[in-house]
Amino acid sequence: MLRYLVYRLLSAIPVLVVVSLVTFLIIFLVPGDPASEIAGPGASGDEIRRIREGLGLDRPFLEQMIAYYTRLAHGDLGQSILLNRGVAEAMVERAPVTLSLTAAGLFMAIFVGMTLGVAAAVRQNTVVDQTAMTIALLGLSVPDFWLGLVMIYLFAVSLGWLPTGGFVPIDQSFTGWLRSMAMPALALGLTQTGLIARITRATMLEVLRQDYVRTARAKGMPEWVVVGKHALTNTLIPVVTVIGLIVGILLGGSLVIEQVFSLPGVGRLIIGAILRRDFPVIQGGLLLTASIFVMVNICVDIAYAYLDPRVRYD
Amino acid sequence: MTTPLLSVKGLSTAFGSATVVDRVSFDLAAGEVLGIVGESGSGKSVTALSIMRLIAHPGRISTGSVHFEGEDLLAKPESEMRKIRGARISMIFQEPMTSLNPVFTIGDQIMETLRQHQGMDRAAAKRRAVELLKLVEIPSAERRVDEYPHQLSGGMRQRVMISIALACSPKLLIADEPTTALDVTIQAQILDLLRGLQKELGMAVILITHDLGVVAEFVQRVIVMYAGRVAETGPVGGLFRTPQHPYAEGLLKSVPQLDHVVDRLPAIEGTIPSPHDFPPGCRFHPRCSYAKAPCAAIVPKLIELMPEHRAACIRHTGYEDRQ
Ligand SMILES: Nc1ncnc2c1ncn2[C@@H]1O[C@H](COP(=O)(O)OP(=O)(O)O)[C@@H](O)[C@H]1O
Ligand code: SF4
Ligand SMILES: [Mg+2]
Repeated sequence: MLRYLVYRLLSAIPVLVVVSLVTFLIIFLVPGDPASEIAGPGASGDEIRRIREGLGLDRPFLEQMIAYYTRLAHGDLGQSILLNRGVAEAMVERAPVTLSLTAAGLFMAIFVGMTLGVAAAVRQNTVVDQTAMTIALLGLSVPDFWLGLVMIYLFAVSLGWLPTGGFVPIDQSFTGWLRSMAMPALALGLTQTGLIARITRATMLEVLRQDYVRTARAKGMPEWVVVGKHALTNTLIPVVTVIGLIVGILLGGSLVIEQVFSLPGVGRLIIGAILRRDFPVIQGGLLLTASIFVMVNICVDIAYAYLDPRVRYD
Repeated sequence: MTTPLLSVKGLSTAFGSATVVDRVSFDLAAGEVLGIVGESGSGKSVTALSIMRLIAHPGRISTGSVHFEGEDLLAKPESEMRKIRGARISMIFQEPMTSLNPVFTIGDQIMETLRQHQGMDRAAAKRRAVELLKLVEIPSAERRVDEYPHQLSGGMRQRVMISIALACSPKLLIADEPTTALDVTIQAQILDLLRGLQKELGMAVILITHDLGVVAEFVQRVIVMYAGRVAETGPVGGLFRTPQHPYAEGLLKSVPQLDHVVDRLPAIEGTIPSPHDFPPGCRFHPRCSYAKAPCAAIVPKLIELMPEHRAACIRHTGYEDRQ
């Protein structure tokens, strides 16, 4: 297990190297001169020169790259051009919003999705199954931003139960946080809920046909042990593997949902930066989301190995 | 006569419109070893699973009764049935490779039974699990108890299955083709083990197999099944010496003999029909070399031809429907 862990951590290094390299090169991939792109039309030559020097674009390529990696090694993501502050600082300030949103969406997708999937499989071809699968299909087919807008109209504007948007930090007020997260998390997580529900149902049906499930019944185990222990643990293995992918999708989706619910998260920061060509912020955002994605996938692999001894003992 | 340990009467099990087990009856005394033989698809497993009440939807026990130690199993609520499974009646299966849960240690899977039925605490259950592994002759039991199924060979896994089955000292062990999936040498070892344990523990055993050779040295009585029905039943010696049903006769001819070598074993011509188109009358008639016209019309009843030895063949009654 330890060897596996070390191996898995080491294998993340090449990924991060590639990501950081792509991030570094982004600025050179812009057609034309990046400095004048950033400065925008109608900027004076002086302004453009100042930006170019600020970004170090006037120096040789290799020197720029060394400087970039030296900065990264010190955890310095550079200065935002427009915000007039450190990129890392801006990210850290906004990360809790995005992380809250993604985590809440993920929690909902896993918890609700698996519940629906297990219920549907255990009660295959009954009303329970049909209801659960209808919900899953709805979740998969309704666009998240549309659902967000409908919910805002219904629960915030018409009924006034929940705020239309904005973020309350969890350490300030838990109920406030919950109220601010409820609709965004639902909108963000619904598609993935549908996905997990369907994967869970299909896997569970397959697992329930296995010989070891019959063995558990022949041993006289109660049905909740047969399903909740013997079948569910085996169902979790394939479900866990898609969770890594789902986190990636949720991180991307949070970009849109943050816009819809006016949440001051990393997603909005990045969108703003893209619109205004604030390269250091774009780069920082890319590095941050990629690192989170890599980290989550390491966690998923560890969970996978924990669940499946056949992987752990290889 | 004392009440038998297990008494199956007129048991029928159907999947949809296909009756795959048709009015099967037999008794089993405490400590007795009974063999159920027949080609694959003759309804042996379904009979066993019906006794355990483990027939899954859409299968259904349609008629008959199963009494165990005088109790009517088919009338019991599921919660009562659960207390019998794995405790008083245990079952082992054909596929040792897939019958254990891959994500739990074998110790866990043995302990689970002990804790469920005997309410043992973890420590006591663990000690007992190691004892059970020793009972089924698994070397280094103390280490093996913490291993996962994939770390064990097929033969070892079947031993683990046996140890789970024996954990609560059942009165009856149903072994459904316990050696079919194993190598020949391992088969012999597992059969020796089962035979030894049966003698030592004195439990009744139903040994299901499609291989008559397996049965000869182990069981006292044999039931030959064909297409969901009992074709012949009798003491193993008598049935082997003088089979009365043409199907049993054919099966015996296809068992390899040690004393004379033949190039090819004569097999019974044809194949077992599917439950959806069982032939009318005697279900064996399309394959039977003794068949005459009435065989396609009369469903043969079991008739006692010798003490305790019965066969369902109208050849013995002049091809007429009488007892
Ligand atoms: N779950 C099931 N659904 C439908 N048919 C089944 C099922 N299980 C068994 N059968 C049918 O019942 C018949 C007897 O099967 P089985 O008892 O497994 O035979 P055996 O154990 O003697 O090889 C076969 O024709 C098989 O196709
Ligand atoms: S009843 Fe007829 S067909 Fe059936 S086994 Fe006897 S002789 Fe053969
Ligand atoms: Mg079978």
